[in-house]
Amino acid sequence: VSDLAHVRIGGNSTTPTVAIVGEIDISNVADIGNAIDKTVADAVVLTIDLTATTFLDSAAIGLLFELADRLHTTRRALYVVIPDDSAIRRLAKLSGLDAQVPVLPHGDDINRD
Amino acid sequence: VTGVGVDQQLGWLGRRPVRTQLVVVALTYYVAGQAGLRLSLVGRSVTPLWPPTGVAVVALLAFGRRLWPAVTVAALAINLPIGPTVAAAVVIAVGNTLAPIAAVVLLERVHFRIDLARVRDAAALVFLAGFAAMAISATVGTLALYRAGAVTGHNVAGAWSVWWTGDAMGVLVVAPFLWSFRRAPAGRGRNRAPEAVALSFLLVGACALAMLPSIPVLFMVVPVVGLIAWRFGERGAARADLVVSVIATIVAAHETGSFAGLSLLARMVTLQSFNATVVFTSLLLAAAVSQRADVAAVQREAVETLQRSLLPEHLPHVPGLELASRYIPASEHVQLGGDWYDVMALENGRYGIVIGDVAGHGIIAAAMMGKIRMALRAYAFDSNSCGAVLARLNALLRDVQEGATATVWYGRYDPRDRTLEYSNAGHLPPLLSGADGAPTQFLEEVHGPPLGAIGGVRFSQSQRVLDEGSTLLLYTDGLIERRNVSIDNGLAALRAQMRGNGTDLQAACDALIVGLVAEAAEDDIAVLALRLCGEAIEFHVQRPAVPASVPQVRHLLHTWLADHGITGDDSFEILIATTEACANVVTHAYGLKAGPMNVNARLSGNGLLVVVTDDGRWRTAATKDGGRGLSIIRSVMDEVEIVTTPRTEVRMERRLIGSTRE
Repeated sequence: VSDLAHVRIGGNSTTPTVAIVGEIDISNVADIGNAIDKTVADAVVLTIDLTATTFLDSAAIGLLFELADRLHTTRRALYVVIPDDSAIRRLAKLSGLDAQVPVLPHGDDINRD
Repeated sequence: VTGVGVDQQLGWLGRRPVRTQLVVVALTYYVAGQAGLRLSLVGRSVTPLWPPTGVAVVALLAFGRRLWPAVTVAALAINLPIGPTVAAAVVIAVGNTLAPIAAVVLLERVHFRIDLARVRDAAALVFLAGFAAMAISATVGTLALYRAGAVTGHNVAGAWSVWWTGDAMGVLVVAPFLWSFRRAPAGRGRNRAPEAVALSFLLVGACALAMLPSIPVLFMVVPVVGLIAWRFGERGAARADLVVSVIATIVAAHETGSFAGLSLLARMVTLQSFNATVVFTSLLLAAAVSQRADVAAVQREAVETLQRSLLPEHLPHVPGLELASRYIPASEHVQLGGDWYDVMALENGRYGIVIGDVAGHGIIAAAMMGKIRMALRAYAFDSNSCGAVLARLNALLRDVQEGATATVWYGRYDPRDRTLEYSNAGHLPPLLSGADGAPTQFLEEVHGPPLGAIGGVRFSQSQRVLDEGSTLLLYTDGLIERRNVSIDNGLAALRAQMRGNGTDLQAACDALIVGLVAEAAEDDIAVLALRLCGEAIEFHVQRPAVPASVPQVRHLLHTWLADHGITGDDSFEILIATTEACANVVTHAYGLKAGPMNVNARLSGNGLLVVVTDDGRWRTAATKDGGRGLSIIRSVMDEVEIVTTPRTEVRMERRLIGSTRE
């Protein structure tokens, strides 16, 4: 997506996982959003894996909120993975992301029912 | 092949095909032969200086012995017209080829160097290449003439000696002359042309005198050649030798001056011994001079290198500190001593400060000091306390058992909160002065004995916060100790001297030494002064207010924070707040045309202030994120202030938690 971050898409088309490696901020949030959008159409459960994300700003949080809204209105689910020891964990709490989107410490913990 | 200067010998010709080399060498040999024949004393065969042998030795040494056919062919071409028979000419040509080959073999065996910079090179050229090898051509040539009947029994010895000396002089005079034109090493910078011109005139004058009819003053050129050899080394000597030999030969051929009224044999003997003396003496003198110069240069360089390696060439920049130092070794001739000072950047934004004194003087103390200085630096990087550094250094000195002892004061300064931790191993107490310049106190704590004195010692440490504007003076005993003066009186004198010093720190150090130390220092003196100059630790960056600038600013700030020991949560949350403030500027400050965005940070004590400014005005509250960025800023920073007129300025302060700062 840019020098700052790149996106890895895994899983299958109904339960895709988008892993973001690097930093997300105002300079690349639109590109990251576009990359995620490609997986949204067929997704039933979308997982955004931020395990390898080293930096996140409010624009990225905004993107996640927006994504959660879009999926929820069509009765689909968004999960975000942030390990407990990640530097960005505190930001998820501060920004209220925790309260609106299920944030899991491991990708395996996702209960897909 | 011959150690040094092979490239220099080869030059242009070295890169040509062998065919070209053969032709050029043969032609040069032939021309040199024709020139030699013009110097003949009698007829066309008795020639006191035979330049082609020099050409042959130089060529075979430079390009390899495979060029021998060039020598044979050219020698044949010279000898056929003048030789008594064709067979004799062929034999002479063979002898003329064998002699330079033998010379080259002998020179290579003794690792001869064409720069003639060593006495052994000059000696090898004279005795091996000149006298020994040229006996071959003389013997072969004389036998050939004898067989052909051109020389009769009773003058075989005379013919042999003339041939031998002629060929030998050809090597001794012509070869160094040719070598003197090899590319010079990097110039010495000084223009020596006037001296060269003056000496050339002197030489021409002496030669002119020598050519005067009926006044035998040929010897007068000898001191001139010696002078040239002394001043211009082997290159000058070689060129002067050629001039003098040719002149002497001409004078001998004209039977004037020193050669007037002598028999042929006497002229021959006089000429040859004169030439041999001049060449031998000048080359030996040049080699001796350059050998001595080499030794002196090597010694000087060794001392300078050692000295440079022993003391820090530049003190590092320590934020908030002005530093000055002075070092005066006791020994006048060798600028080395056992005292030292050091300032080094440690991890976490701290700085190590050292003053020390190894017992003893001169080169032994200096070498020991170098080892201790480096060991201290190594320990400083992975020890938690100043006392631990000194304890490990003490154990090291005990362990190496070289009997060295050293007094050392080691401090660790943190510019953020101006704290100084220090531990003192038997060193004199540093003097602390207040902001008004008046000495306030000596840091009298001593935490242990001199290093290396007693094994297994633990060193405690002290800590204090230094005031802005205060000065800490570290010094070694050479500054205050005098015969018949007690240390207390010396310290009192230091205190008094320090009081009178002005604001310039370096000038203050110098004034201390001038005021306290007699002209000839009895002991090494090291002085290191630190003044807290109140300089804040600051970060400035300006970028256009576009999205791509935001990660750039963040990365620069990240590096700066890490450089000052700020990592972990402190760093991450400062970066979040700054990124949000920058994102606001990028999103809201300007219209279509992006203006500048400034980010400044200032670190003082435990507080960090980040100020993000722009030249535009934030358009209020049309933010689609509902002010999320601002709320993040407020939750990670302790104080946040936003000034919106005339331009927007976000001031964010944080008290550092310092989770990663020890």
